[in-house]
Amino acid sequence: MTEFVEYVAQRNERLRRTAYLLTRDWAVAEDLVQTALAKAWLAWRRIDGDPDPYVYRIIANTHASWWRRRWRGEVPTAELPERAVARDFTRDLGERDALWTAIGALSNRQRAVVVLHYFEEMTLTQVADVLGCSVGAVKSQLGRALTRLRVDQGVQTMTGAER
Amino acid sequence: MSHTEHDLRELLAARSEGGGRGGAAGLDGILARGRRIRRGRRWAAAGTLAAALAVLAVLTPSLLAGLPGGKGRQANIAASVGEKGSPGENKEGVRLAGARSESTGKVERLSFTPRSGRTFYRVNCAAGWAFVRLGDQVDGGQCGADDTQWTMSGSLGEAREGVPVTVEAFTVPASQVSQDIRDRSDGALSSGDFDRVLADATPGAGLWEIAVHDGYVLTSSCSPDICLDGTTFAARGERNLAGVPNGHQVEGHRYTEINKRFALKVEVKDGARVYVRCAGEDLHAFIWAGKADRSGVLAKSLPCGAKPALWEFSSSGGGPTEITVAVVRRDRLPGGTDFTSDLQAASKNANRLLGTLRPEAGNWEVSVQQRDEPEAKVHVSEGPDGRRYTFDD
Repeated sequence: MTEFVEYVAQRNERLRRTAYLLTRDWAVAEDLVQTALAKAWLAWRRIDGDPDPYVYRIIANTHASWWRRRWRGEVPTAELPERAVARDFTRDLGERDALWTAIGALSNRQRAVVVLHYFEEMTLTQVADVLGCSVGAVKSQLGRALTRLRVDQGVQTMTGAER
Repeated sequence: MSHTEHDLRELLAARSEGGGRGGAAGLDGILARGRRIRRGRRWAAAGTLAAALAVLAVLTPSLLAGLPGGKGRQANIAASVGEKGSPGENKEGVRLAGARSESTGKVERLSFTPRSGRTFYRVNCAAGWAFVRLGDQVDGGQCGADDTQWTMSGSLGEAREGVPVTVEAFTVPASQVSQDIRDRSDGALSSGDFDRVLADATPGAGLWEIAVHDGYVLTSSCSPDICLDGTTFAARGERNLAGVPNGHQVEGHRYTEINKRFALKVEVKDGARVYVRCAGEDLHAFIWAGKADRSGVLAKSLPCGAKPALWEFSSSGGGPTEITVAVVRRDRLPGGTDFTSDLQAASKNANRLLGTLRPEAGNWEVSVQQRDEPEAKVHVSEGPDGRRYTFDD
């Protein structure tokens, strides 16, 4: 129990940030981390070694299952709210905002790969372990995600304007 | 590091700051939620037990009455649970579509309707590279024998639940894949690359298959005539795409010389098979039951092709079994020589031929596989297209 309390104290903030990058909503992120940590607490005695891969796996899987459930009932809006805000930013902020919007347009799986690799600094092997798939599948998802981010209309236009 | 990767790192770090401290996730809240989950699991377990007891209560009178087939049905239920396992992570999902081909440089198309947001594919090649396209997604990678997995697999990110799609795939020998394509096969291939490699490919012989599953795919469910180390049941009991009994390799070798006999001693029980793969060359395979001497019998004499030469046999007594294999150039076979009807005479003819030939360089491989399924459950019939199997599953 003491170890679990220490783990929560040490890792909670980082887990929240990761969960936010996956969900893009602080309330949902909080909910996701609480659920993941609750599941981890139940299995704490069975976790051998570093609990991080186990906890991240729960976060990724729980998020994926929530996303699937919510996606079915989701009604796409005509315009993403971030775009309206982006018009008021400086060019630098506008570029970042366009990239953020583009990340939001990635598939759930692709976003998870990007977040785990670029934010959590996990190797592709570690990402594959967390997501329960092959390294090849991670590579292909990451490649496609980067391709989509690079060819995103907003990003490409602004990058081009700089040159 | 590219500019985009740097941007990504900075952006992700910046965007995830803020949102308040979140109250250290509230340890009490976590523990309370954990207890709720535990209670839910107990209820679920209790519900399952109650349902099982209810089913048992219904079935018991008929089982006790000794209805015909009752015992068999029990046995089938047990077998099916044991074979299929429980669905979940790292288990192969339901197969949505599958195809086999004996041609390289020729596209195969699979149309199916995804059942969820997670659709995976698996391509298995005897040799070479595979390319898969769905919409803007193009994957390319090695899947041949050089990569001992024989597999290229991945997810179909553009597949959406309930929306029919068509996946295209083809394979080519590794020699037909340019360095430019290899360099960009880590996820940067375009639809134009797919078309270009296909247009430039020289059609040839090569065995490969593609399977699309809802959820994960397992490399171990590859057909045993491609993945010579054998195959196992897919999680939901789908048969391998070749439709042949599953099995595992007990002895396997790669040879670099032809015109030479190689003896193998293996331990197999009941049904077993020998595959000799010598595709891509104008070659001919000989397989002897026993030694290639006066006591030996020529079991098979077959031209090499896309499919490996196959000899199936049954070793009822167990213990060591001797097998001899050889591969020669097809144009060295003397015209009119009988290698099929009288097997002992054929053995002499094959030995005489090999005695006149000098060993030369040539790549081929042999795999002896133990069939894993009970002989009584496998039924064989010979048809115009070759041997067909049906199974008592």
